[in-house]
This record gives sequence, C-alpha cells and structure tokens, in this order.
Amino acid sequence: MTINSLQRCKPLLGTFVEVSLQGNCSEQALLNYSELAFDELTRIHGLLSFHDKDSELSQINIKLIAQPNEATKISTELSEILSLAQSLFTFSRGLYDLTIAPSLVFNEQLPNHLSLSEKAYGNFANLKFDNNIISTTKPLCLDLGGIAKGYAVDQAVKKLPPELEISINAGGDLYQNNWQENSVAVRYAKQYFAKRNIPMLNSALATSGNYYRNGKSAFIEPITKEQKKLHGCISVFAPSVMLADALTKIVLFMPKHECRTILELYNAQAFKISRFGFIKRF
Amino acid sequence: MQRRKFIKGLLMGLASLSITSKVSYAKTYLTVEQAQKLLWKDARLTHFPVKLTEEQADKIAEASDIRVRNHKINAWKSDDNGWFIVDQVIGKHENIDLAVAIDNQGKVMGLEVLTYRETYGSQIMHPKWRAQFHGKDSSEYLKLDQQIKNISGATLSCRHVTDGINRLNHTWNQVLKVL
Repeated sequence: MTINSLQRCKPLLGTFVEVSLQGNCSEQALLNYSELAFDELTRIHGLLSFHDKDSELSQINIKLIAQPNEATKISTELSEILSLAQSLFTFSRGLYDLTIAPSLVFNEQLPNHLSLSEKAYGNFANLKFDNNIISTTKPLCLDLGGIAKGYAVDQAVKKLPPELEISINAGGDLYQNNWQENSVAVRYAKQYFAKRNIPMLNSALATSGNYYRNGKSAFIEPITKEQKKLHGCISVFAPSVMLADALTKIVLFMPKHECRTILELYNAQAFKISRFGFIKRF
Repeated sequence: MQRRKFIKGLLMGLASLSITSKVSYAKTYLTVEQAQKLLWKDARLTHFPVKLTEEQADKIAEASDIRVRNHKINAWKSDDNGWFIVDQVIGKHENIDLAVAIDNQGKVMGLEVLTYRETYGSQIMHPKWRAQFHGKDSSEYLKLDQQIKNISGATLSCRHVTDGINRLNHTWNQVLKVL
C-alpha cells in the first residue's frame, strides 16, 4: 500500500470547508471518508444554521420567541453546544452570550426571517435547559454563529479513523490531528500577503476577524450591545474546535487578565495579531 | 549622488512590491476527471460545450439577478440528460472554479470546488489577469501555491458561490433543459 492524499473543498456552513486526508489506503477509500465528513457537516449545518429557515435552530427560535415558557425538546447536538455556552456565559460574567442574535439582525449581520421587532429580548440567564428540554422566562433568540462551525468540524472528525492524517478547515476554524511540528498561517487582514506563520500549539485553532465585513462589526458586546471594533484578528488554540471558536469571543470582550484564567481552565492559548502583523500573546 | 541612489532604491523597492502583488494564493482540489467520477459515478459523460446567445444570457441574468459573465458553458452531458458543468465564480477577493452536477429534473446533485484562487483588489476583475487561467490544466496552478498548507483567518462568506449555483439553475431552466 502507498500513502495517498486527498484534498476537497465545498461551500458549506456559510463558508468554504476544506477536508484534507492522508493515509495508507486507496484513493477511493479516502474519497469515501471525505464523503462521511462532508455528510456530517451538511447534517449539522441543516440542524444549526440561523440562515436556514427550516433548521432545527430556526424552529426553536420561533418557539423561544412565541411561546417562551413552554418546554421544548432539543437535539443532543444543540444540547451539547448549549452546555458549553452556559459554562462560558457564567465564567465570562455574561460576555459570552448566544442570545445576541436580535442585535446582529438589527445590525444587518443576520437575516430577519423571524420578523424580529426592536424590543427587549432576554439573555442566556433567562434560558433554562435540562438535558434535552429547553424553555425561557423571556422571549429570546439564539445564534450559534460563534460556536457551531467549530462543533460541526469536531463532529466530522469523529466520523474519521484516527490513523488517517486529518485536517479540516472551515473558514478559519481548523482541526489537525497530527498538529505537532506543524505550522499554520494566520491571516490578520484581508490582503493576501497579510499572514503570519505560527506553530500549531494544539489540535484546534480558530480565528476571528472583521476584515471581510466591509466596516460593519459582527461582534456585539452582549451587555452594552455596542459594536466591538477589531483591527487584525484573534486566534485561539484549544483541544477542540468548538472551544477554540467560542473562546475567540471571550478573548475579544474580556479584559486580558480575566480571560487568562478562562484560557488556562480550558487548556487554551490565545494570540492577538494587530492589523500590522504584530503578535501579542495572552 | 546619495539622493539619487536613495530614489533608485526606493523605486526598485516599490517595483518589487508590485511584482509580488501579482502572485496570488491558489489551491487546487479535485481534477475535472475526479469530480466527474465523484459526482456522476460510472455514468458516461459526453463533452457538450454550450454557447449562450445574448438573449439567453439576458434571460438568465434577469431570472437569477446575477450577471452572466461568460457565455461559454463548459458542460458534459450524461446519457440520461443530466449535466456536469465546470464554471467560474468571481467574488470580491476570490476566483473559484466550481464543478456542479445537475440531474435531468434540474436538481443540483452535488458541487465541488476545483480551484480556489485568491487575490486582493482589482486584479480579480481584470480580464487580462483572469485570462491567464483560462483553458489551463489545474495542476499548473500548483506553482502559485506558496507552500502554506493551512490558513486560519476570519470567515469568508461563500455567498458568491451560492449566487453562481443560482445562475446555473436558471441556465438549466432556460437553456440546458431542452438540449
């Protein structure tokens, strides 16, 4: 047997998802494995997309707005995401909040297919969930934009045999199983040459930046509801992509000394790269 | 003299910058043959290039609300009237070769990104810059790749690709359906 490799890319999760596999098996076997990964990514996209009116998330959002006090059953996938989001909400004293969706809609960063009107919505503290049952004391709306891409990558990786060399990159949310001694280029501005090479420090890396957004910020501070400016980018290395994806927002909003504690707790490392390419480690 | 040297150096520096700005980031994924095999399994495909008339292009543009840049469609047809199309999508920063399989009912069966090229600024819209890629084997792009395996950055939206698929759907509806 010889070592074969395969690289595929599909438009998924609202961005470009690249799956690279290498291993001691036939090219056809690699293709089949990549199909498994893409099928899983498509499935999770179908469940958790805010943009898709028929997704489970959109259906649950309709209920959380219309009948907040009624208990609703949610999928295991959503429940897994919400439990991490809940811990992060607590640790960050409300600065990591998935209920920011209405503000993002009014800021034209998300489509308004739920016909949200400008009124006060609840936050994550109003959300009650126990295993697979969810309810809220105030109408609210969830957006998983800052966590679900990472989760989808983690789930896709689980479908693949670990003896393969796996690399999945979902619009900057990157997973590599053999990350040791690898390096990665982090893009800190939209120009193609604005990249910094840094060594991989863990199996997952997520980067958040604003430079493709034409001046509008996709980052809204959940408590003050103010747009947060970010020149350059924030990158977080963590043991899972979901965690790395979520922690980039915590690093963005929390004071440096406070987010250090959270990063240590989750065994993560964070960097901020300025728009001129200077790296600062947290 | 010193001043002249300085200006010369400065100009050379600027010139070298303009040269490097022509280099773009490019990545190739599947070849056309691999994509055909993946999307159409063992079905026999016959090369069936289609040239849109002005009128057809206008109709497609009107129906899809997306400009039809290229009137030549690089398509293959299967025995049961399905289609395999290699198309180019031009976004703000990216220029993408895409393979799309459409069945005989007009449903998109699958799509693959074949080549992803990235640059910045007006180059991408410049016909001369784009012309260098036309009709070339995808393996030729490899030399452009700057040997960076992975890039992590802010999420780039794939809206242009979604628009491109929409345009191809309308192309099928207006033209390919009856061919």
